[in-house]
Amino acid sequence: MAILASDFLTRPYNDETLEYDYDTHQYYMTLDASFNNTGIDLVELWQGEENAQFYLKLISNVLYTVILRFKDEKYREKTLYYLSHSKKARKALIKLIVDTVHYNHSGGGFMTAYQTGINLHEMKSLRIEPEQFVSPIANEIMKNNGLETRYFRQDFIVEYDTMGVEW
Amino acid sequence: MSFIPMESNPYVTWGNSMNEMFLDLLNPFGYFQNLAVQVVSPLIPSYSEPLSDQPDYELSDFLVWGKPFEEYLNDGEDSFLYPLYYALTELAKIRVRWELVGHERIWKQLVSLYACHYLELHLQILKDEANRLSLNPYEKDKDYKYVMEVGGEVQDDFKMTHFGRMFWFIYKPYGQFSHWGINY
Repeated sequence: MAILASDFLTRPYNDETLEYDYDTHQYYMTLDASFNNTGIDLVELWQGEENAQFYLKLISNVLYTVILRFKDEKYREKTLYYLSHSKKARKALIKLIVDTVHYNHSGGGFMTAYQTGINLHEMKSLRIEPEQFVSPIANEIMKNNGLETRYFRQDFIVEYDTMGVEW
Repeated sequence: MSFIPMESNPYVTWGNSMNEMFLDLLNPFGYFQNLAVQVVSPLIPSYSEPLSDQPDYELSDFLVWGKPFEEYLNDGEDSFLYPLYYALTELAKIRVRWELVGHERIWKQLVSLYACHYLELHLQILKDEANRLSLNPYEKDKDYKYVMEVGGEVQDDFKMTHFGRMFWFIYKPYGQFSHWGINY
């Protein structure tokens, strides 16, 4: 069984918006697309193109981790395959990355995920909930695009080689 | 005593008169006690119509009652729930006996509700939020027991789901004394 033909991408592809890394099996947004979609100049914010690109990769890492969190570990590879070979998932990832750039820029962004929440001075800790790693809008985008499900809505198997092309 | 048999049971057996009952007492395994004569005519007409063949059951019949599952079955045989739906409806057609129900729409309702009940339970198993069926650590906070409480009493079996309750309310007179085992 396979992903529905109307939704299937034979191979993840690069365009002006997203680039695909075959080692990590993740999409990353390009700097130009980030600026065009958000209006936020990351190069200026992070003082360099390399830093800005590294920041966009970090956003993708966090987003993929959040999406993988909803599925059991036995579906990890299947989830990465689906995110790489589904047109719908690709569009959802673009929306999610754009939203997360806004979320970070507005304050209280995903860097919250790296906060321990422990205040030694006042001897108390603040629990950081996984839902706060991304914005509430991003949570809704994931829900509406079927990325928050515990199981897949389609039956498919992971094809490491599609029509002679390796994943 | 003589009588005219009905179309639905056109047989005459012995054992109605006092003399015949006396013979029965003497020899219960005798020839006359095991003899049945089929009467061709006259017969009292049967008032019930003969039962038609079991009707066909389609996905569209299921979706009348199983609307919540429509999006998981709208890809036809490619849907991830389709094999389970098909298996459940095939089992439902065996367990919800056409010969007992006899009415097409009621029978289709019962078959659908039976399948919906088990589909609902299977979705809970698939979600497995507590990681019971996973090598990941067990999450007690998310171990939602699938129970239904009515009046403080926990319901079990078919009463665990809304579909099951609807099904059992109608089918209980037929099914409550059946052995829901291998052959049924």
